[in-house]
Amino acid sequence: MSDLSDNELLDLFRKEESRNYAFNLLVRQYQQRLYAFIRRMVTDHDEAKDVLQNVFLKAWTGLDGFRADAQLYSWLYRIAHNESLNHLRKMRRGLFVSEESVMEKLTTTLDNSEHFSGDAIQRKLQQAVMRLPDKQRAVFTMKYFEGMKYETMSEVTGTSVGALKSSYHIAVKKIEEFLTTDQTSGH
Amino acid sequence: MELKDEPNELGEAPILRSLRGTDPFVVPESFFDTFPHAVQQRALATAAPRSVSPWRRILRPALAMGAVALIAIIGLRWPASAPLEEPAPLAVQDWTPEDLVRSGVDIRSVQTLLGPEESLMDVIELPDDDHAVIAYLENEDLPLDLLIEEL
Repeated sequence: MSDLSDNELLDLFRKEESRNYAFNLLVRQYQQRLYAFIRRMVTDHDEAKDVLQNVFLKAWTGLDGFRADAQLYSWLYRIAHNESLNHLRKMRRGLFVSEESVMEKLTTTLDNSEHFSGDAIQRKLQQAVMRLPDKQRAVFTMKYFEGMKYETMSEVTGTSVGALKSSYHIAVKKIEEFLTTDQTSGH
Repeated sequence: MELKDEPNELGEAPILRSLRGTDPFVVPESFFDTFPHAVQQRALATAAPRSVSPWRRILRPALAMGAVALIAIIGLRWPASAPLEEPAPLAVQDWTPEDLVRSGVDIRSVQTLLGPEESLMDVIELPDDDHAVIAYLENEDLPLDLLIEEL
């Protein structure tokens, strides 16, 4: 990872001779954090890779218009958030199926994935997260897994802090309920 | 409903609290080493964005808007096919009966040519008596001297 600040990275990107180098540094700097978020949203590694690639391609074409007063990380995260939601929407449209069917597909992906190392309770947690509506899943992922501040989440999602808190609170309740019920019923 | 910020947000969710911080997703080995190169290749394969200076970013839309406005104005003011130049209106002299008399035109002949609808002036039936004619003309306030000359 480079030690360059966002502004230094942007300055390098704006110069023709250092554009490719700066972009490479930018990808290296943010790929892991963005991947983690996308992976939790779409579950499958290959799909996460495609979405992540689209995120950086959009960044490549959009960086010239990036306002320096905004945070580069928030901006990239916003693209990742939108791309993940678009991907799930497309998946639903492509399958012509209900929310439950998509959830089932994601669960199957999780069960068959060699890239998931979690134990039974971790698996249940992922299933519970996948049962959430897309936007609520994004809110829960940002807060619970990424530990993001509500203010940053607000920049990313374009939703008010109050609405985000409410959404997260409901998500936590739903998931805890799902986990408790599942555990007591012995599944 | 009052929502408390972290860590109390998970106060009523003990299972979630206990699972926090674990990441069960596995990333294939060396994925993050090769990914930047792969994405860069794709970025370069797509149309590489040229750096656009700020003034061009502002000037371009302004010029485009100006051009559209100009075309719209020309379209409104300039008819599809320009009509032939209209001939200059003929200068028609407004002749009065007095002018006609002065120029020696026979008023009766003009009246005959124009027809009864186009009344040039009232057709005057002059009496045979000269005194009566003079009296009539005086009464009509016509240029008597000229008429006398003509007669």
